[in-house]
Amino acid sequence: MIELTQVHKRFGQVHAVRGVSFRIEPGQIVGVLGPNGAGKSTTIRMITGSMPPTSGRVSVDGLDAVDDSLEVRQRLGYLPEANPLYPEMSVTGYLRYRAGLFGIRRSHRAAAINKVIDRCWLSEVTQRRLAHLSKGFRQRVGLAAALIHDPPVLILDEPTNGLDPSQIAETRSLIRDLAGDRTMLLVSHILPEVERTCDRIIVFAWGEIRADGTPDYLLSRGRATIVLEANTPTPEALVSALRALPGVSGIETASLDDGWVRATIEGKSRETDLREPIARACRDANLLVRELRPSKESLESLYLRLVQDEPEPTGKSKPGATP
Amino acid sequence: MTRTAAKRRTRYTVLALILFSALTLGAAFAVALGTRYHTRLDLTATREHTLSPRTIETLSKLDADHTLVISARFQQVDQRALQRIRDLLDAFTQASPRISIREINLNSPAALDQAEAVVRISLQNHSDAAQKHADALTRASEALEGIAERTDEIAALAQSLVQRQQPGEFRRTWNDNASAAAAIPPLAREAAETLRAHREMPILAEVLLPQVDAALTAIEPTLTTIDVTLAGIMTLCQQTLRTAASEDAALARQVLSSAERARDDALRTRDALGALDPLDPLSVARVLEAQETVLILGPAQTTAVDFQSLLPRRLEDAGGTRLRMAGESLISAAIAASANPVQPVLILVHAEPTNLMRSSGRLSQGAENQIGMLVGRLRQQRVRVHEWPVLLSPLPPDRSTLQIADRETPIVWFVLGAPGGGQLGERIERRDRLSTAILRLVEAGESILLTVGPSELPAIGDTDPLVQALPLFGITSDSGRLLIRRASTPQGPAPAVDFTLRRSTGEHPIARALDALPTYLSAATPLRPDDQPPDGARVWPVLAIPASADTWAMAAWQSLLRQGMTRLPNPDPMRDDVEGPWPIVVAAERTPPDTAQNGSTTQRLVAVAAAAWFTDATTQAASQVDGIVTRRFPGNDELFDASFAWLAGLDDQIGAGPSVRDVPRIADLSDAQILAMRWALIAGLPVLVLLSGLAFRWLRG
Amino acid sequence: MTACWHIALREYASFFRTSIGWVVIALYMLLMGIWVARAIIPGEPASLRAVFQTSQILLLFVAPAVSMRLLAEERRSGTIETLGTSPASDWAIAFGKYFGALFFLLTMLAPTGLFLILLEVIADPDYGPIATGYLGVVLLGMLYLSVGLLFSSFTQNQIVAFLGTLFFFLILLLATTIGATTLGEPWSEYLRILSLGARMDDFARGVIDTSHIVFFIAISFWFVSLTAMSLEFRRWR
Repeated sequence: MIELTQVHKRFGQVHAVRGVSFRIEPGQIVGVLGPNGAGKSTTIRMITGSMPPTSGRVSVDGLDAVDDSLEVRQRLGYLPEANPLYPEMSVTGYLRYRAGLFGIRRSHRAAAINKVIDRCWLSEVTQRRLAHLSKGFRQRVGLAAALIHDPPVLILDEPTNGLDPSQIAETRSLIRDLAGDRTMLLVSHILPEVERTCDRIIVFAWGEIRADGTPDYLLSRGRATIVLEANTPTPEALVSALRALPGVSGIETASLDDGWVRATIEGKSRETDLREPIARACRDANLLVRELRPSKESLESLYLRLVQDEPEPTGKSKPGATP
Repeated sequence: MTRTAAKRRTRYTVLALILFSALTLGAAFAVALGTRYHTRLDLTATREHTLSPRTIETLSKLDADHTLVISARFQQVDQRALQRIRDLLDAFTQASPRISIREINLNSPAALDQAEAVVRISLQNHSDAAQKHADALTRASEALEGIAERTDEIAALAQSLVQRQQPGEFRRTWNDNASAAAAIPPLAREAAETLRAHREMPILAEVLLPQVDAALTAIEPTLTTIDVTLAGIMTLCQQTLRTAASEDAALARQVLSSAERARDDALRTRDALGALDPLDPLSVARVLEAQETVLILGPAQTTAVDFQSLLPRRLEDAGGTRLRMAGESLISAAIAASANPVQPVLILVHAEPTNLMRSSGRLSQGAENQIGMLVGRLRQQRVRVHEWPVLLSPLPPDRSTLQIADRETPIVWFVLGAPGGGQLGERIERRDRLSTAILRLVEAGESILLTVGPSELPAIGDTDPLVQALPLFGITSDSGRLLIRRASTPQGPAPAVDFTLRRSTGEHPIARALDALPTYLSAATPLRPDDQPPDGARVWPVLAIPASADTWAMAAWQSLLRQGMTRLPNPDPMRDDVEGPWPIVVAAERTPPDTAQNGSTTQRLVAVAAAAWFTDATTQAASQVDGIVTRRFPGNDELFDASFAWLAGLDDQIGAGPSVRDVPRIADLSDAQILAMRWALIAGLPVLVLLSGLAFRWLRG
Repeated sequence: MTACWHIALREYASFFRTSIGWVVIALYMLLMGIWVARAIIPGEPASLRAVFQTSQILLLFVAPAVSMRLLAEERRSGTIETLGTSPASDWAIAFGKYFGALFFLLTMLAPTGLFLILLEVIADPDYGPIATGYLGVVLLGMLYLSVGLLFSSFTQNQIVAFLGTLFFFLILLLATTIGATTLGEPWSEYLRILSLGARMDDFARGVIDTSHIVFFIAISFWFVSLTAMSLEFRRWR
C-alpha cells in the first residue's frame, strides 16, 4: 500500500533522509519510531505530498506521491502532530468543511459525519467551538476529520501527545479499533505506545532505518543475556572465571544489597545456551547460585542502542542495524 | 533513480517558468487588447460625458493633431467647475486619438515653462510663417537703411540749395526743411535697428519670436516723421519748381524725386508689415500671458475659446435652478473652425464719414472703441475684415481688391446701422447711400447680416428705405415702432427700451446656439415674417420679445425720446402694436436672382432689428462676482458668431447649442437635521455594525 | 472545483465568526460615512463622485486588513498542513481564499446601501454614476485583495502582510502621480496604464470603460495565479 524505494531527502547540505526503503501492506498497523530529528516527519511529509524526495520513489496504492499527488491525498487521512484546527468553527462545522474538501457528496455528508462522530465519541460536543474543547476532545476531532472520507491509509503523528493517562488509554483503544483493514502509520517517539499498539515497528535514526519488523522479531534481534545471581566474596574472580568461558563476550556485575552478586553475561552467539557452562563454572568455583536464567534485551534498551550511533560518512552504519 | 528525481525537478522548474510567462503574457495581452478595443458607456442621466453626434463627426474628420490647452488659475476656479471642464476635455481625447490636452496651472511655478512649451508647439507648426515674418522685418530694416541714405542725400542737396539762396523767407524755409531732412537718417537707422532686434524678441521669458506688430508700433513715430517731413519737402520742391531759377529748380527736382522714392519706401514698408497675418505662436503667447483661456492648436491655426464661457453658469428660471454647459459646443466649434481651411471674409458696410480701417488694416481709434473686440475676435478666428464705406465709395470692393483668389471663400457683408446725429441733410444722404448699398448687395446674391434701427420716417408717412429689401426674403420690418417695456424704478414705473432675452424660438441653428444665453438688445423694432413669402423664400424667427401686457411697439417713440424717457406712456391700441410676441432677430433664405454673381444657389440673410447689439459696450459688459469676472450677455457674441457662421455657410461651426440640464440637488435641510445625519453616518452606523457583530457572536455561543 | 467553493465558504464565514470581519466593516462604514457626510451640503449637487474618487485611499487601508490573514494565519497556526494534505490543489486553495475574501468585500459594501437610502430621501440622485462608482470600488477591491493574498502567502505574520500590501500600493500611487509628472514622456504614458486613480475617476464620474474592467480582472487573476504558483513552489523546496 505504501512503498518507499531508496528515498533520499536533502535540504541543502543536510541529508535528512538517507536511502529509506520499506513497504507497508494493507491492514498493517505500523509504528514509526525514532528520536526527534531522525527524519520521521520528513518521510511522512514525502508520503503526504508536502515535499518531493530528492531521489527515490514514494508510492501510495501504486500511485506516485509526486506525480499523482492529488489522488494520493484523496486516499490519505492525516493527523499532524500539532493537530491544527480552526478555533472559531464548531465540531460539526469543521467536519462538514473537511467532508467538502474531500469531495463527499452532500447526500452522503451527514451520514459520514455522524459515523465519525460516533466512532470518535464526539456526540456530546458536536455544537461546541473547537476553541472550547479539551485537548483530548480536540485530538479526537482531528482524528474524526482524518477519517471523514474513510481513507484506506491513515497516518497519525504523535496522536497521544500531551494527553493524560486515561485519555491515552482511550485513544489507544480507539486507534486499535480503527485499524480494521486500513493501513495505519503511527509516528511516535514514545516506545511503550508503539509497542502496545503496532504490529510492526520501523526504527528511524539519523535519517535511516535502523530496524524494521514485528516487536517479537526485533526482540529476537536483541542481545541475549544470562542473569546469574551468585554468592561470592570476590566478584573479580568470578568475572575472570566466567570470562574465560568460550562463547562469552561480556560480563557486567553488580553487587546486591544482601551481599549477593548479580552478573549479566552476554554471549557471542544467540544460538548457544551458555547456562550449562556457567553452572559448571560456578560449581567448580564452589559458588552458591540462586538464580540462573536467560534474559532478553528490552525493546527500550535495544531501541536506545539502535539510535545512538551516527552513521559512517560512507553511508554504512554501525552494527546493530537491520541487515 | 537519482536521475529521475532530478529530471523531475527540472521538469517542474521548466513547466513553472512556462506557466509564469504564459500567465504574464496573457495578462499583458489581455490588457493591451482591452485598451485597444474598448467601449465607453456613459451612465449619467444627463449624458454629460458623451459628446454630441455632431461633435463626434467633426472629430472623426480631423486629419491632423490638435492640442487643447487650458490655461487658468486652477485654484481660484470652483473645483466642481474645473472638474467638469476636465471631464469635457477628457471626453475629447477619448473621442479622437488626434487630440491631446495640456494644462497650464497659472497658480503653479511651472506655468511659465508649460506656456513656453505650448508656444513652441505652435512655432513648430508655423515655422514657415515665422520665417516669413523675420524676413519681412529684415527687408523692412533694409528699406529703412535705404531711406536713411536717401535722406542723407536729400539733406545734402537741400543744404547746397540753401547755400545758393539769399537770406530771406525762402532760404529759411529751405533751411528748416533741410534740417528736418537731416534729422531723419539717425531716426531711420535707429528704426532699422529696432526692426532687426524685433526679429527675435523674447516673449514669455525665453521664447524668441519675430514680433512684427510690436516693431511696427515702435517705429510708427519715425515713419510718421518721415512721412510728414518728406511730404513737406515734396510740397516745397513743387513750389520751388514753379518759381525758382533753373539751377535751383534742377536741385529741387532731384530732391523731389528722391523724397518721393523715400516716402514711398516708408509707406510701402508700413503697408507690408501691417499686411502680414498675425503670427500664430505670437498670438498664442500673448493670449496666454494676458488671460485665462482655452486654446485649440491646430496644424494651420490656433483658435481661442474664452475660458469664462466654459464655466457653468447658473440661470434663474421659473422652474428652479439650471446649470448650463457651454463647453462642448464652444470647443467643438473651435476645432471645426481650426480644421477648416476656408478663411471667410467679413466686410463692414457702414455710412460713417471716414474709413473705419487704416491702410495698415488696423481700426481707427473711434472704431477701435466701438467694435475693437469684435474685430479682434474675428481675427483670432482667422477671419479677414474689410470695409465698404458707402459714403466714400458707391461701389462695393470687389474680390480682386480684397485679394480673394478663389470663389470658395465666403464673404459676409455686415451692415451696421445708420449713424444718427448731424444735420438732416447728412442723415438723409447716409440713409440713401446705405439703402442703395443694401439693395445692391441683395441683388448680387450676397450673404448679409443686417442691423435695423428704429426709423422716424413711418411716423411722417414715409417708408424706411433701409428695410425695403426685406420683403424679398419674406420679412416685413416695422421699424417705425419702437419696442417699449414698463420698468419699475424707485421713482415709479418708467419706460425702458432694452430687453434681455434668454430663450430663443424655433429650431434654426442660430436659435439653438442662442438658447438659454442672455442676449441684450436695445432700441428694438419688430420684424414680421410674411404670411405669403415670395417663392423660394423661407424665414425663421430666432429671437422674439415675448408677448406681455407690459410691452408694446410704440409708434410715437420720437416724442418719448424727446421728453427724456421719464414718464411711462400708455399704449395706444390704434397706433401701437400691442400684440406680441415680436420677433426681432430673424434668419432668412431665398433663391438669389439670376443677376447673382457668386454662383451660390441660396442667398442667406440675418436681420437683427436692434440698434445696439454688437458693440463692445453691449457685449462685453461684465460683472465681478467673487473675484471672477463673468460676462453678462454672452448671447450677443454668440448671436454674432452663429449668424456669421451660418451666413458664411459654415454650418458645422455653429455651436450645437448648450444643453440645459437639471442637476439633482440636495434638499434644504436644517442645521439640526444635518448634524443628526452626520452623527448617524459617522458614529451611528459603525457602532451598529459592531453591536450586530457582538449579537451574532453571542447568539452562536 | 468543490474544494475551492468550500474553502471560499469557510473563509467567508470565518470573517463573521471572528472579530475581524465586524471590525473591518465598522471601519469601512466609518470612513465612507465621513466622506458621505462631507458631500451632504444643502443646495449642492447630490453626487457621491468625491466619495468614489477617494475610495482608492479608503480601500487602501481596509482591503489589506481583509487579506492579511488569508494565508498568513493558516501558516502560523499550522492549518496550512491539513489544507495542503487534502485533495485541494494549490490553485483551488488560492482561488478559494480569494473568492472568500471577495465575497466578504461585497458584503462589506452592502450596508453602504443605507447611505443610498439617505441620499434618496434628501435628494433624488442620479443612480448611473453611483452604480458605476460601486462597480469601480468592487474592481479596485478585487485588485487590492489579489495583491494582499500574494503578500499573505509570503509570511506568517499578518502585520507584515498588511504592511507589504499597503506599501505596494502606496508606491504605485506615488509612481503614477509624482513619478509620472517628474519623468515626463514616454514614461508617463506607460505609467498611465498603471494609474489606478485615473481608472477610478472614470467609474466615479459615471463612465464604464471596458478597458478598465479588463485591466482589473486580468491583473487580479494574474496575482491570484502567482499566489497559487507560490504555494506550489513551497511544496518543491
